[in-house]
Amino acid sequence: MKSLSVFANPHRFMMMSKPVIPVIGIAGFLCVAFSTWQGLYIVRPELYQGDAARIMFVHVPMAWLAMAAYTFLALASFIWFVWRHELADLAAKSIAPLGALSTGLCLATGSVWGKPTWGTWFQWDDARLVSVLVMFFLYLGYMAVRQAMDTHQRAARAGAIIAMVGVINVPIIKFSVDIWSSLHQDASVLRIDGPAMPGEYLMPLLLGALGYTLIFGSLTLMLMRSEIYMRRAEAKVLQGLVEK
Amino acid sequence: MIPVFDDTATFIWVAYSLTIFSWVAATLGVLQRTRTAKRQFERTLGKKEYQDQ
Repeated sequence: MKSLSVFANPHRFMMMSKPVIPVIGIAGFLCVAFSTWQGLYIVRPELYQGDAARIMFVHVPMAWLAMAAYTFLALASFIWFVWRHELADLAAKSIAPLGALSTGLCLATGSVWGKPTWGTWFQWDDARLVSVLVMFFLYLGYMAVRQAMDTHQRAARAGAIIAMVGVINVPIIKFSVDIWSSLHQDASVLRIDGPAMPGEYLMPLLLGALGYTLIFGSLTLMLMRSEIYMRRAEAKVLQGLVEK
Repeated sequence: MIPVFDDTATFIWVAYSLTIFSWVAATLGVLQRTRTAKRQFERTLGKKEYQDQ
């Protein structure tokens, strides 16, 4: 907990995050560029799905990122809820819109992949598809509830409750294809037996996931810094009003 | 390499374009928000305070 408190100091966070943002942003861009080039031009068509399988290199990173982001959102909310570290709340607030973007893109690219392979854009009785849609609504609900509150504290508390309750959906998404019959294929990378995918596909997929995650991290840090600036300016204005 | 014009290729281009342009738009949005926040901070606390951050 002591090491966590070191990062919870906003001044230290501002100093440490400043040089990190461009480094991880550029590294993420390079990974995504390489993965996109490999996915579009280099890897061979898949045996059963043909060229449509190339959508995997954008769909799967979005799906992983959406779930990882929600897990971090819940974790940051828990840290705020228990220890009241304001930086944890800022992290949660900053993760939410980017997590919603990842989830929306996961659903959109999944639909675009589903149409040529399954013959449908969306299947309402499919547990994997519906549980991801629920996660998208959880992100939207989180942001809407925060926006509706009149103070930072109330927004943080209401948001934290939604985030912590909603995290139960993450394992449901992960194991939905094992528990219920689904159009969606079973896990092919994160498996106990190891990845069921040739290296030709696995390498650009993992690089793409890493790249999008780094860009996500860079944007989250930028949003957190912006929020700190906004809150300091707001505090100064309030202080001025009190002194008057 | 994928063909440029056929049914499957259209789906592939849509998926890639949607993802990449969305992230580009998100990055521009975040940069704009950062600029607004910095400007507000400078206006309220002064440029020197901002440079000290």
